[in-house]
Amino acid sequence: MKVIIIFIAAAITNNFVLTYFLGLCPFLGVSGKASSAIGMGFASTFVMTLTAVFTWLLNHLILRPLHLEFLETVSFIFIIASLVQFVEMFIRKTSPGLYKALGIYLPLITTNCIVFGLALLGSIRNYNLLENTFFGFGAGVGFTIALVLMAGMREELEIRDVPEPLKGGGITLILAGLMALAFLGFSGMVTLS
Amino acid sequence: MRLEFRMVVVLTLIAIFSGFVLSYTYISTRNDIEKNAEMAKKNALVKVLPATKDYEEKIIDKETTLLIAKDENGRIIGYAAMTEGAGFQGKIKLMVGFDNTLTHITGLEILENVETPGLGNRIEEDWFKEQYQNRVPPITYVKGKKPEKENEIQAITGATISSKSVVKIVNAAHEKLRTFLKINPSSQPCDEDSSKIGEKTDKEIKTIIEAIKELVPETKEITKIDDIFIVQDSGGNKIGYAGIGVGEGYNGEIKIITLFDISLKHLKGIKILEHCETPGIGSKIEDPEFLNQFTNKVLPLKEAEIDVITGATISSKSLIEIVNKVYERIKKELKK
Amino acid sequence: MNKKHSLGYDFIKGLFKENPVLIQLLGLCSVLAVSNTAINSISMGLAVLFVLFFSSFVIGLIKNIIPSQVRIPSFIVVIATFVTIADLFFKAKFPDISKALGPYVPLIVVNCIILGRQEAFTQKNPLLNSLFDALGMSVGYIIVILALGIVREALGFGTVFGFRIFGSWFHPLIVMILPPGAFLTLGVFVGLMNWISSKRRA
Repeated sequence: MKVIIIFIAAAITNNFVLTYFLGLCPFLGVSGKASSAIGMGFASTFVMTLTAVFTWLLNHLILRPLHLEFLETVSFIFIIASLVQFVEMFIRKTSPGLYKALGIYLPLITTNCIVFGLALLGSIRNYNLLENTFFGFGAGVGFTIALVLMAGMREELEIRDVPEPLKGGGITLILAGLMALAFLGFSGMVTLS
Repeated sequence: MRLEFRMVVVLTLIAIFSGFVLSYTYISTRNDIEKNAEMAKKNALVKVLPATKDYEEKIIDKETTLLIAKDENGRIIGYAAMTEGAGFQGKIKLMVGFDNTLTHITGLEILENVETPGLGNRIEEDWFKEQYQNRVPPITYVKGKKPEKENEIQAITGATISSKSVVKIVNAAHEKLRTFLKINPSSQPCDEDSSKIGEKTDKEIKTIIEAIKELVPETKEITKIDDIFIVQDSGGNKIGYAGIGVGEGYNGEIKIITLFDISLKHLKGIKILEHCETPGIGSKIEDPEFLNQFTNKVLPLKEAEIDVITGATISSKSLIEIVNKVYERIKKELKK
Repeated sequence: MNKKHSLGYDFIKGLFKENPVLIQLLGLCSVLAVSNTAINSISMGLAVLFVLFFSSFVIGLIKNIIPSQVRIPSFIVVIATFVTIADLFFKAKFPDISKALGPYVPLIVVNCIILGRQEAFTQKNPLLNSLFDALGMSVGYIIVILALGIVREALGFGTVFGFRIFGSWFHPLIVMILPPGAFLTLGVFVGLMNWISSKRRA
């Protein structure tokens, strides 16, 4: 039961993009087209779920037993970078179709703060392995939701009359603010503890 | 090949160097970081139990740590729980202090929270925290009006869930400390009275007779057969049976006298003879208001029929149990 | 980019013309997350200044021995090292600030400004220019995050750096310190910035 709550909380009520401000670079950069938003979302969800598993293992099997918590930042970022590299290589070998669909987004994920933020928050919250996996998966789904919604709105905006100075970043941020306001309505639906 | 070699060497060197620098920084900041955590804990403890000079720590479970606060002579002045629970947005971590009988709350400090700024995080405001002082747990909350009872606090307008969460965490902490401190030999043992049922001294018989007379004023004569007291009025008619019952309360033995009507259908009343429940909490079983509830209840007693004392559930329930035990015993013996 | 500029220009451009936040839209996550009060903003800004300056310094020194294939991992390790130092420093000396900034200090690692400057500037320019560039970018970042912090704290709490600036008539707009307020304020800032620069060009 708790894993479902964690999943919903990470995806909706405490949406990573709209409440923790994580993953904004792709949110503002990539989300111009719905199709690429979906691709980016899936690739990130995949990497984030894996990251949740591997950083948990690293944290609980190596760092904590050896009292090396201060190396968390360095080792997490290293795990993420290597993970992305491996996933890229693996997908290219096994599934050229999938690689074509996701490949171009993968390198961008390393420097996506949502992945690293996920690893850090999971460690702070002290989840067990299963909970952390669902936390990662939920955060990925939440990221995809935000990305796709934003892309849909921006496609619509292309043909609208936006004041010149607000075009691009300005209007996207304001839209994100309105989305965050809407997502605020979900808060309290489930509680993440 | 040469390039790959260089890649490995450079990366390894950078990693090793980084490891060294970080280890050095960590070692030189570790003391300060630990001191900060210690200071934060101590400051909070002094806020909730101001007379604290020294303290001892015991870990109860993953979320809760017990702090035993002592004054300069090493006497225990109270207990505090450092604990956490779910709030509206996320985890709330707090410290709550109790006096050394766990009767009253001495203070509350919110250590960490991620509640909504301006609404939920007003649980950090002094007026909200100060409400808890001298309250008798378990706490309940009221909305939109001033709290009246000694176990009530006022919830924050617009942040009922956050307020409720704090109340819940405080009550859970209180319950945890109570169970924990009970199994801990450091809690005050019950003043063991050497008297046991069976070896009744004259003085005790006298108190029993007096108690029965208080319950049934028309009592004229009391005859004792085995463990049963048969109560008769001036006309020599049997008007009831009385029996002594002993049971386990919260702190130790509770001894009561119970009076049943002649048909053994109704309870006429009970009286506490001895107990060593916590003063102010369990000791409330002596309140006439509470005891009067037992008058004219159908036997055997059901738990739902008696309103238990807030904060003294165990003591209250133990009374119900004792009454039913005596009832069963008398019923069996009368059949014989 | 390979064209040599004066040190002064490398510093100044980060403040306005190439402001990392308002023009390049980089490093937004920390800008939005911790700018709910002015004091948090300035602490975060100083942490970014520290990390960016020293990362640029170290990377500027060793850039010639790093094979370009392992450039990114090497940069990240260097950056992560300085981030951890900043994090430990806050924890040791300013525990309250460390608590308020939470995971956003370690998140500087993936702040695109830092890695972006290494990629775009430090590795192609002389060390001294890189340092001035790092300083300029950091100061540009600090200006924006501080302005955002002041506006949000003023409207959301009615205070600036904890001092009350409005009378009792003022009712705080709580939404300003919540996530939507961050997005909206920054959106308006970006719009204003574009408007000013288009006026200038005209």
